[in-house]
Amino acid sequence: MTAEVLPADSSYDPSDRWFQHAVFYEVLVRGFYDANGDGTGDLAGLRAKLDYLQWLGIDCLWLLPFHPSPLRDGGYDVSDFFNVHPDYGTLGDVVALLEDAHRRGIRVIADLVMNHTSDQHPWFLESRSSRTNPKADWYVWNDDDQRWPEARVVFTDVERSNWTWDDSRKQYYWHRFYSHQPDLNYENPDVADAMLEVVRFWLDLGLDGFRLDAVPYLFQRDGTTGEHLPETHAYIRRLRKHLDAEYPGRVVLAEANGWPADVADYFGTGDECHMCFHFPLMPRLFMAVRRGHRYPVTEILSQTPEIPEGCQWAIFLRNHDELTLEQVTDEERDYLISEYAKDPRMKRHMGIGRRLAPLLDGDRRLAELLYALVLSLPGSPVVYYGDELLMGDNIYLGDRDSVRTPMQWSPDRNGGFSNGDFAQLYLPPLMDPVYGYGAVNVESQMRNPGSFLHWLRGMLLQRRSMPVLGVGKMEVVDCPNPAVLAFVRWGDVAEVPAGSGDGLGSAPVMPVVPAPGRPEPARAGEPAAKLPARTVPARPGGPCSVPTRSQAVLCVHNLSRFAQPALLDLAAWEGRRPIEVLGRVSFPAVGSDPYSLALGPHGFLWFDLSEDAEPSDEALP
Amino acid sequence: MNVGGSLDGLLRRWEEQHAPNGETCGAIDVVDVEVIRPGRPGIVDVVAEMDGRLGHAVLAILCPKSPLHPLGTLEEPILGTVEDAEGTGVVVDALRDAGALRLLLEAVEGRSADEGLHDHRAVSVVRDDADAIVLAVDRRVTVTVLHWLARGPHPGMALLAGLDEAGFNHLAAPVAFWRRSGRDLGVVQELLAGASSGWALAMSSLRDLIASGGPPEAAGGDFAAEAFALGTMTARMHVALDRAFGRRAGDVASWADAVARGMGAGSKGRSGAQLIEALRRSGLQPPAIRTHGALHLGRTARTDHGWVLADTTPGGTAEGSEEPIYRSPLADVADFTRSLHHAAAVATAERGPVPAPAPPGDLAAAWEARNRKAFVAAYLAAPGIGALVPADRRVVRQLLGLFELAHAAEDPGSPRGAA
Repeated sequence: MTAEVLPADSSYDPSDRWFQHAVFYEVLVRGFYDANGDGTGDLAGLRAKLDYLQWLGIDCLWLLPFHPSPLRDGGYDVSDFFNVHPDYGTLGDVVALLEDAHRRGIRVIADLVMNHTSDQHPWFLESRSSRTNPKADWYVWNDDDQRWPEARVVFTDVERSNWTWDDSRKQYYWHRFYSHQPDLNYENPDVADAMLEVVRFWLDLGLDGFRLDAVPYLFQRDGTTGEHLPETHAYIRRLRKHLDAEYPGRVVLAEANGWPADVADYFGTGDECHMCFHFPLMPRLFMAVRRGHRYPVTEILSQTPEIPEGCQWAIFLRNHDELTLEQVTDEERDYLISEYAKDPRMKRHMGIGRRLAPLLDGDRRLAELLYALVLSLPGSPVVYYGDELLMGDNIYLGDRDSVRTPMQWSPDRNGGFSNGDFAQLYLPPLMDPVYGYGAVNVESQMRNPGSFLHWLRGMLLQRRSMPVLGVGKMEVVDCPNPAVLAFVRWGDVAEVPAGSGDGLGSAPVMPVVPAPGRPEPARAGEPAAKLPARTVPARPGGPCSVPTRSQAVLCVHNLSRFAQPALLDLAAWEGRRPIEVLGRVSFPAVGSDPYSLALGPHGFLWFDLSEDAEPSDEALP
Repeated sequence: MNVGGSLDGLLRRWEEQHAPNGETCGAIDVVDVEVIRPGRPGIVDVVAEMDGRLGHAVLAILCPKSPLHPLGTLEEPILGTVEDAEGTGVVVDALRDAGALRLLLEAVEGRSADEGLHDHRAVSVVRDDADAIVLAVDRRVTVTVLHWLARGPHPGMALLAGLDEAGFNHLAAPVAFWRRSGRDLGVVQELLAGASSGWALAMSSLRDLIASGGPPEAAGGDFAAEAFALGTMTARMHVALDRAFGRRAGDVASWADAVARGMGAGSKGRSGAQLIEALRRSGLQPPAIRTHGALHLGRTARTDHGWVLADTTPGGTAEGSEEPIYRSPLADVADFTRSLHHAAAVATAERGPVPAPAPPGDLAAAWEARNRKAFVAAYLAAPGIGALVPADRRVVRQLLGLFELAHAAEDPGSPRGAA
C-alpha cells in the first residue's frame, strides 16, 4: 500500500504558535505498525507510516509512552525516563522518527509521566530500600495511611486507598493511581530538578513537546484534595520558563481532567501550559447528539473562560483512556452509561471503554457530525489512531486495552499490522464481521473515495484552509430550535501566500517560511538533508507578522436524528453572502430577517462568511 | 391631547379583549392617565378601576393615514377614534401594534425616537395571556406589560426585583421597571436568546421515552440532568429570596391545618391523615420565606447558558391576594414535583392508541420518579439551602409529603394549565 504524498512542506507552520492551528494524532506506538515482525508495534513501524499520516493531513503526532516499563498500565508506569522500551526500538529510532516527521512538516510530542513512576523504577527501588538512602525522600512516605483523607481515589474500582504498605521500608507510600505507580515527591528539589533533566534530554533529541500526564497531582498538602495546588502551578511555570528560554516553539499540553475554570488555571497567564485538554466538552458532545439538543454543549462553552493569548484548548472525541465521566453529574453519568455502555463490560473506571464507532452504533452520519463539531469548535482537534477509519473495539480485553488494539492497515494477515505470528501479537486485532480488519482497514478505505477516511481527510484539508477555526473567536448564533447548534468563528488570520496550495485543489493558508538556518524541507521521496537534532525553528512573530485578513466561518449543526429547520439570527452579518465551504456554493445573502436553513438528520453546513468569500465557478448556477 | 371624553368607549373595547373569560364589568372609573408622548403619534397610558380590578391600557393615537403594524396576535389593534385639538386620531392598543410599541419602549427606556430602530418586523409576541403581554424587541430585550395591576407593587415584579438585587442570576436581567404612582406597569428585560420552555423539553423527553421504551436513563432525551440543574436553580432562588425578603419562623401546625381544610373530610386517606396529625402536633417551626408561589416547568426555560426562571408570577402571594405569604421553601419544591407529575400525565394521555414498547403510564411514572429524585437531591445538596430546610431528612420528607398532599387534592383540570 502506498499513500499519495503531499508536497512535503505544505502544512509546516514554523511559528511558535503552530499548535493553535494543528490537528493532532494520538498514536500508540505499540499498536500502530510492527516493522520487525515481533508482534509489537515499534518506532520504526511508525516511521514507515509517516507517508500515510502526511497524506491524512495531520500536523502533530502525540506518542503514548514508549519508555522502558513493565507495561502494567500501558506504559504509564515508566521504569527509565531516559531510554526506549526495547520492544519499540532504540534512541536512534526516536531520532530517525523525529527527523523524518519534521521533514514532512509533522511535529511530534510525547507523554511525560511526571507524577509517578513504576514501582520497578530504580529510583523507587532505592527509595524503598531504607529510610536513609540518598533517594529515601524521592517518593512520598508515611507511617500510617491516614494522611490526606480529602484526596479522592481515582481508580475507585481497583484501588481502595491512595496509600500502600511497603514491607521492606515498613511505611506506606502515596499513589494517586495504581498501587504499582508510586508518586514522586516534588517537595524534594532533587526530584523537581531530575524531571527537568528528563525534559531537556528529550527536547535535545528533537521532540516538539510533551503531554504532561496527570499534572494536577504533583504536590500534596494537608487539608486539600491534593489537586490543582499552587505549588503544582509554580513548578509548571518553572518548566515553561526553561522551555521558553532554551527550546522556543516546543509545547506542553496538560492532562488536567477538571472543570474548565480549574483547568484554565494551567494556562496561567500564558506562562504555564500552552495547551490543555478540554475534558468536560467531550461527554457533552455525546450527550447533545443523543438528546438532540445543544444545551449540554452551549452550557459548558459558556462556562469555559477566555484563555490567555497564545494558548489553546485540545479537544477530542475519543482517546486511549475510557470515555471519562468524571466531569458530569451522577444523573448525566447514569444516562451516558446506560446509553453508550449497554453491556457492563463496556464500563471502565469512571467511564466507558469504547471507541468512537461502536459508541455511535456505527452511524457514519453521526460520526461525521461529531467530527464536524470537533473540527470547528474552539481548540485544536486530536484524532485517536484508528478513529479515522471508524475502527471498533474489543470490550472483552482487560482495563483500557479494549481501545488499544492493533491498527488495521489491510485485510491481510494480522490486519497488515505485523507479519509476526498471531500468537505473538501484543493484543489480538479485531476480526469481527462489523469492525474487524477484513471490513475496516486503511487499504480498502484509501481505495474508496467515498470512505470515511477520505471524508475526514477532506475535512482536515478544509480546516487547514480556514485558520480562523484554530484561533478565531466564537459566537453562538441565536436559533430558536434547540436541536440546532450554530456559531460563527471569526477573526483576523494570516494572509494566504500566493501559490501555497497543497496540490489537491484546496488552499492551506498558513504561511510557510523556512526559519533562518533551517534546511529547506525535502519533498517526499527525495533524500533529505541531515537535520540537526533540534530541528524545529523558533521564529518570533509567526503568522502574526505576515499580512492578515478577516475571516468568518458560520458552522450550523443539526444535533437531532430528524431533519430540522434553523432560523438564524445573523443580523451582525447582514449583507454577507454565505458560501458553503465544501462545495463553494453561494447561498442567498443575509438580510435583516432571520436566516432560514434546513438541515438533514445529523447534518451540518459550514459557510464562509468572509467579505471576500467567492463561490466556485462550478458551483454557480 | 385630550382623550378623556372618549376613554370609556375605548376601554370597553379594550376590556372585551382582555377581560378574563370575556367577563365585562359595569362601571369603568379612570383613576390615572399619563400622556407619555403627546401629539401624533401619541402614547397615553391609562389605569382604570373595573369592578374592583385595576385595568391597564396603553393607547396609541395615530394620524388616520398612518400605517398600522399589527403584531401577530388575534386581536385587532384599532380601538376607535378620538377628536381633539389636533383633529381626528385613530386609537390603537399600543401593545398590538409594533410601531406604537416601539414608541412606548423608547419612552420607558428614556431614549429619543431617533435613537431607536424602526424595523417593525423586529417586534414579536413571546407570550400573550390574561395577565400580561410579553414582546421581544430587536432581538435584544423583552417588554412585559401588565394588563391588570396590583394596588401597590406587583408581587411578581417585586419578586423579580428582589431576586435580581440579591444576586440571583438565573433570570433575564431586568433593564428597566415601568412604575407609576407606586404601581408596577411592566418591565423591560434582557432577551433570553435561544431559550426553550422547561415544559417543552420535559415533554420531548417523555415522548422520546415512550417511543423508545426501557428505563428512562437510557432514553435519548433523558431529563434527569436537567431536573438536577433545576433543583439547584430552585435552591439558589430560595437562598436569594431569603436574602431579599428575610425569613420568619414557620408554623407547621397551621400549614397542616390548611392542608386538612383544603382536602376536606375523608379524602386524605389513612396515611395522609396520620401525616397531617403528626405534623400538627410536631411543634416544628422551620424557616418560612417568601417563595415563588407557583413554580412549575412552564415557568422555567433552558438557555444556552443554563436554566432560568422565566416567570416570577404570582410572586409568592396567595390566590386572589397581593400580600406575600411566607411558607416553607419546600412548598415550591412540591409545586415543582407536582409539575413533573403533570408532565408525565399529559404525555401518557396524549400517547393515544399508538402501540408503545411498554405501557406509557409505567414509563411516565418511571420518568417522574427519576426526575423527582434528581430534582430533590440537587435541591437539598445546594449550598446555603441547609439554613432554610430542616436538617432532619425525615422531617423534610414529611413536609414535602404534606405539600404534595395538598396538590393531590386538587382537581388536575387542564394538566397543561396547571403544569
